[in-house]
Amino acid sequence: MLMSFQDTTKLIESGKTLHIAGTENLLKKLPKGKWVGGSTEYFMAKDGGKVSNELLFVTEFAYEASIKTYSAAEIENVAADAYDNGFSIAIIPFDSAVHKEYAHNADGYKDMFMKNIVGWISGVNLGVPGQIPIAVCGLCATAFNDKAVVLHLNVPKNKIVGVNIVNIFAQDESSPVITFAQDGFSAIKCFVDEKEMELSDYIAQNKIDTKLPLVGDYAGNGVNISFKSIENGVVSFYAPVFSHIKYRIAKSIGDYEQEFNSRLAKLKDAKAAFACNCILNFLYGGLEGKQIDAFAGPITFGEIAYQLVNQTLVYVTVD
Amino acid sequence: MHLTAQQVEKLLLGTQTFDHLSFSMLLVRLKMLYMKDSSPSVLQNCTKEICGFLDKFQNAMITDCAILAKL
Repeated sequence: MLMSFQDTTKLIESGKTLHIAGTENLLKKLPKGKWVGGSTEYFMAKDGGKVSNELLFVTEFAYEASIKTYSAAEIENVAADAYDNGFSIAIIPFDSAVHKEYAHNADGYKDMFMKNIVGWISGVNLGVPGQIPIAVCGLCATAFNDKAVVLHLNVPKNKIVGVNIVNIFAQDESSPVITFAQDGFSAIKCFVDEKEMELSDYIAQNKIDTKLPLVGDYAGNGVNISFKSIENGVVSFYAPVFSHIKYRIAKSIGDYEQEFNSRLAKLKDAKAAFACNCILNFLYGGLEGKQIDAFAGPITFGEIAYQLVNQTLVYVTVD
Repeated sequence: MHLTAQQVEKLLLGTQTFDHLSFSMLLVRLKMLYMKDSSPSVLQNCTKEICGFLDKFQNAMITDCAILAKL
């Protein structure tokens, strides 16, 4: 829930295990304790989307926990370090080496799909220059812009942990298959129905709305790759495209808010132990001040459901 | 649930779709590995990994297990 700095400080000092999202400035002032933090000023609160540099979004956990930091060279151990029956929340600073390493290689890390790994990419207020995306290890009250901070949680053996996503996008089956010769956060060329062409040309010629992501086909599950920019023929993404994945542009949706709430209505009985949602959903969906019925949490600059995903709500259930 | 190497090969070369997110992601990675190197040792490793996954998570993927049982 959203809390003041003072109330958050009290909770930390009471010894609780906490996940905290908030502005870089506030996170750096919090006392040492059993907490992890990441920078964002965007939140989905119970009463709607909010932007605040005065409040912190605090999630408390009553499970055994350990907190670890990981450099780009160490992040491959994140799943191996996770508890067998539990879940781990990774916070990774946007555009850091560890962000890029994780985005490219997470699927090959030891035990990645045998453990429950979620998390998010920390960011900044998009309207305030000079901020730095950080992840904070509360044990030493140190903020990192080059390391991931991970809260590993151990859930009792009689409980079942589920990692779930809400992806309002699906492949537009009437659009061509797009593939890439190389993995990467950017691309110049691609194959459109196996014919090589410049991706920026394809987007322009077909008047593609780049608010819609590319949706990768993962054996029945759609994984989104969001467009970041198109400059001088180079198309940049918020997560890497992969050469072994078949993509299509997402099917258009009508009303973002309505689409979200209609999806969430089907999940009304789900109780999320943790949730995060994408900044692009927040911005493109105009969610500030609008109520999304469930799944409060930070608004983030990339979401982790095992691998890095985009324009997706990620949540964890413990039943 | 146990799959034989033969069943796993069908899975790696097939177009089945699944509900379970991490199983789908795992399968896509293993398909890529097997496409790069279709040797018996890679197939054996894929089989071990898939069976290990199913041992742990099959209770959470009843619909998907019904698809796997038809391989």
